[in-house]
Amino acid sequence: MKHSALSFDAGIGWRPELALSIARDATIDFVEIVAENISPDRIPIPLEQLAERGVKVVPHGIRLSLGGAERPSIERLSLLARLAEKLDAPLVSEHFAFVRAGGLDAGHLLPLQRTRETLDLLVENILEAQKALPVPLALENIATLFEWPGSEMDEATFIAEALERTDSLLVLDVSNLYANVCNHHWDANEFLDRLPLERLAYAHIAGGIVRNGLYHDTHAHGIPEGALDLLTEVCSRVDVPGVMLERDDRFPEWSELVAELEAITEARTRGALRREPAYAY
Amino acid sequence: MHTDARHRIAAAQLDLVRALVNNQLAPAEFDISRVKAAADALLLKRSHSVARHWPGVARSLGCKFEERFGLYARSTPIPHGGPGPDGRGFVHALAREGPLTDDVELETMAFDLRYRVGAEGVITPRHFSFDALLLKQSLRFIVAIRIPLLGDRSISVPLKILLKHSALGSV
Repeated sequence: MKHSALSFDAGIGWRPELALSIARDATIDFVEIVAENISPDRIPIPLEQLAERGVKVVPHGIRLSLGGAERPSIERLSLLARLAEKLDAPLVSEHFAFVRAGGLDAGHLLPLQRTRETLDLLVENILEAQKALPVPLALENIATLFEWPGSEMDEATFIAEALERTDSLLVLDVSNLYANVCNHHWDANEFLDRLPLERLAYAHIAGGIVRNGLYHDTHAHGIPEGALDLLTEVCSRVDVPGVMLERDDRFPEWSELVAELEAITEARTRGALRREPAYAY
Repeated sequence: MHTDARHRIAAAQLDLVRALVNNQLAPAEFDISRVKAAADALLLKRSHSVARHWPGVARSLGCKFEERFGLYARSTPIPHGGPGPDGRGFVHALAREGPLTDDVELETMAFDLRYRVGAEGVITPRHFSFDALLLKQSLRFIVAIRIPLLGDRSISVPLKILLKHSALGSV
């Protein structure tokens, strides 16, 4: 699936705490909403106004549990579909993860065991989800503090095969990749070499913190230099359609987030110049 | 894919989730210290989320919030509906331990007026709802009503005025 219809630039995760600042900032041209926090029957007025202004809104699911053994919930898919239609979203996104098992909720995105069997299950679930959605589905890599034993392939290979078999798009979270590089000593370049970057819909970036020797992707702290360097590396390989800043807690002054958005643009420009020396954002 | 494979994956995923949220041992061959670090991070995330949705509760417990919430959360799975019902469950647990502060009582009343918590999470009732409570710290009687589309209305009456009227009425 090609994504030529998608063209984003500067994006930020829409949160009620940031709604006013986002509404006032004309440079934001796409936002992502946490799909489970917004009812299609009661879209917040500031969000409707953004959509009317031409700002693209992408519903981002966090509860579908596409890598879970349970089949994706018809109700959750229906809500996601209705949100996409109401907001005229160009696509919806979710994760390579599971969030619950046996009725027990983890409250967070958990990694999958990278086996053939889990890959087949994931592919089945994604195909089922796609049938219920009116727009393309993009899937995001997650950060994890631990890995499953007995994995049969590396994460990039697992993701690449799932995307190819389901003809899905990719949301590349460079901060999640950065976290996994820090915590599991992954080779970021090898990871990127194996990803089908031609399927990239957009990228995520966020801040985090080192706690007890482990990097935590908190979405509540500043973006580390290493994550910006990874973004530059990605942008040197491919024309990234858009980059979205995620901030979910400890909301700073808007000027601080503007500075982060500028740092993102600079990182993208550095990468683009490596790819095409005459390029400028 | 074969149903057996789904069952196998379901069992393995359930073992992992139990280790992460129910304080159980990590499944065999997992890095125990990493699973413990993830469990701690999940608990911290859950407590921050509840503190954000229940600022009165967080304020009332101050620096003890995380410790008290941790005790509750380790024995209580995350309910459907996220931090709203999770915080409501925490308040319920706090109420069993002793009297709640006025801040917490008021925040709980506002939540109960607006939402109903069921097995499938929170729902917003379409009909009007009504609640009344006595604030023990400030000695005020609160009556609140929620009318769909119109919002919440409440009156607060100092207890001494109520008692005065009650005494006059009994003459």
